[in-house]
Amino acid sequence: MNRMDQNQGDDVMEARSRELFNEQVANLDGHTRSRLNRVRQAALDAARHEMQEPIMRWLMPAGGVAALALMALFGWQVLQQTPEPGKEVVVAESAGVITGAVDDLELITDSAELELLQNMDFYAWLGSQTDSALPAAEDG
Amino acid sequence: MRLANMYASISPVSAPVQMVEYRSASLTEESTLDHIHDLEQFLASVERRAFQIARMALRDEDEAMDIVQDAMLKLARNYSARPCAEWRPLFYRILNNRINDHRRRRVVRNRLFGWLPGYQQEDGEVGDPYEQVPDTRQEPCEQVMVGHAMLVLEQALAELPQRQREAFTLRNFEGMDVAETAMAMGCTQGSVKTHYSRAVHTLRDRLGEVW
Repeated sequence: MNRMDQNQGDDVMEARSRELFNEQVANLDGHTRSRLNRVRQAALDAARHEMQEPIMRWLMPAGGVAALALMALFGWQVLQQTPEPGKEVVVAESAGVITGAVDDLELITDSAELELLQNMDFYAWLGSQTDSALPAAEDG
Repeated sequence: MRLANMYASISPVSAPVQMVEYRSASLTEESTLDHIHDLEQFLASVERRAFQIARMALRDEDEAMDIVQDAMLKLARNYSARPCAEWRPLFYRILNNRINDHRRRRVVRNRLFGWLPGYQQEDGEVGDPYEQVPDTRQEPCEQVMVGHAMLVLEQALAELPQRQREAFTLRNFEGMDVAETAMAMGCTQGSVKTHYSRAVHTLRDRLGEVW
């Protein structure tokens, strides 16, 4: 009998507390509802972002890893090319190649030399003429 | 459809392939929109109840709002791709974890800074001096809704051990079954039954006289 009363008491307490809770939820003020609405929209924006750009989520870390690997490879190659006693000649040769390449670059970027490049055919023809032919052309 | 016609006019040879691609892309977009719509409905269905649970546990509306926001964002970012049936226990699990973290931080904060004059103790015993100024405005919501019984219930719930409070909240307020509650609490169904039974007995002892 006591157990039945206890169960009934539990049921009443559970029902009453549930009723109070539901009443509180139903009577939330407009300000709180508005804030909850904004919070929900922010969460939905986050979900949209996550769903619509799943590739970017993987690409960005993968790109970072690839960049790091490239930098490591470059650093390793530089370390491999440090001068050693028996390889000084090779280093000097490669330094000469680099200097030549820089000179070529200056030649190409120099605006005065660009005119020369544009009239290359003429200068090639001029170079092919014999020295004796030139004064005759001038005389003519 | 206009986009598909445009594809056909540009390259008629590969048009069928592009039509398939376009159709699959639009289907993916549709399913994403459906999923977002489902998520919105789910969040709308639980947001007020979640806020009320957090408010009762922390007895602070602003903190409760922050916790609901955190829980929604975490669910949306990390678990929105999961099946809809899993959202409810996951959401309440996140919410309960946030509430417990917050309560722990509050206890530590009170221990560290509680000796400072004017520092707000737990349950708002002492607070900001400006907040102590009596508000003479009528608060109809509190007058109408928050009765004595509700305040007593909140107090009794706040004094329950954490796991018992979670079990009672999820089972009684949210109407979850034992399996769902176990998933939300991250424990076995037997533990849920034990926690819930103890919570009910404790609450009945404390609230029986008032109600």
